[in-house]
Amino acid sequence: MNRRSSRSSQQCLRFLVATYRWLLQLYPASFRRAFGTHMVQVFRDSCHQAEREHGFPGLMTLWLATFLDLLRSALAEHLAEGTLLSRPFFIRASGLLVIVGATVDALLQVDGGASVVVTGYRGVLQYLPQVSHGEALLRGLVYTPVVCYTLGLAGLLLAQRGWVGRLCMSLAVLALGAMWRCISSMFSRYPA
Amino acid sequence: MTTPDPAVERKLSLTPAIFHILLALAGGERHGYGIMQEVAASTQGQMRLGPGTLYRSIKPPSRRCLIEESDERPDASLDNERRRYYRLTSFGQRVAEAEAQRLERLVRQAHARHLLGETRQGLLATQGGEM
Repeated sequence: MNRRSSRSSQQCLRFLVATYRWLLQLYPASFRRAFGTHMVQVFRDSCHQAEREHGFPGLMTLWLATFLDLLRSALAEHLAEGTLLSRPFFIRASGLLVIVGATVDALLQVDGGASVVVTGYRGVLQYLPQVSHGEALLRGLVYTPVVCYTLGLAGLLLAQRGWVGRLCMSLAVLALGAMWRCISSMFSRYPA
Repeated sequence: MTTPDPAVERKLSLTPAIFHILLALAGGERHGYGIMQEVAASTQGQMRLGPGTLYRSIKPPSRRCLIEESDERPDASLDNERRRYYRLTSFGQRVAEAEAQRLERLVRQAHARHLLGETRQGLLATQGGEM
């Protein structure tokens, strides 16, 4: 039993180190080149110690702390280097944000109109019943997440090439499918 | 009392992370993980540096005059070749001393204004007596 839990801890440790190495992409390239290997080494040493002293919970606590440190220091490093103002970074970040926002908005529609866009527009229709073609407009607004999503995806593809771009693309297509399903189910519930 | 060095004075009011790194290196050369362990141990776990904060603190050109990489390895047989060791420069040593003195002056002021509890006052008096 102990041997099994130790083996699963080791697998977890390897997974965390690999994930941390991948997440180092959040730092500017120059910083990553200078310190990436050493940061992974330091994280691996910390993981070994946490696993030895506190087992799996220790590993998880360390991971959370290191992840927050990574987010904070990567943002600070980008601000210090001015890369946040660069065009590729702006396109990539805004593309991701638009995709995430559109996905969340579509997923909120699953239980019938909790979406920010749809709920907001229903509120407007309630006070302005004279608005003609309201349902048509409503339909248009429901499609907004898809439009936002597609624009975000285009931005991401512009800024991100290589295998990361392909991975983003695959995940994006899967999420788009889920989003489309949500919207279709909403239309079947609320026919025009 | 020595005349303050303007170059040293300009570096003062270090961030807690940098001061703790300098303190850790004042005890001798250390690699990144060693610095993190030393900082955690010396603060009883109250300050834990992550790899990002650690290397960001070491990186900027303004810090290169305080900390430098060391080519010597304390014990090559027990060590991983990929590790990078750091040590204080002589200027870094002076900045650490000046910062410690600045903090000491602040503690004295806090003491004079009765901001420190009885226990700490007793502790300071004991330490002062021993010195």
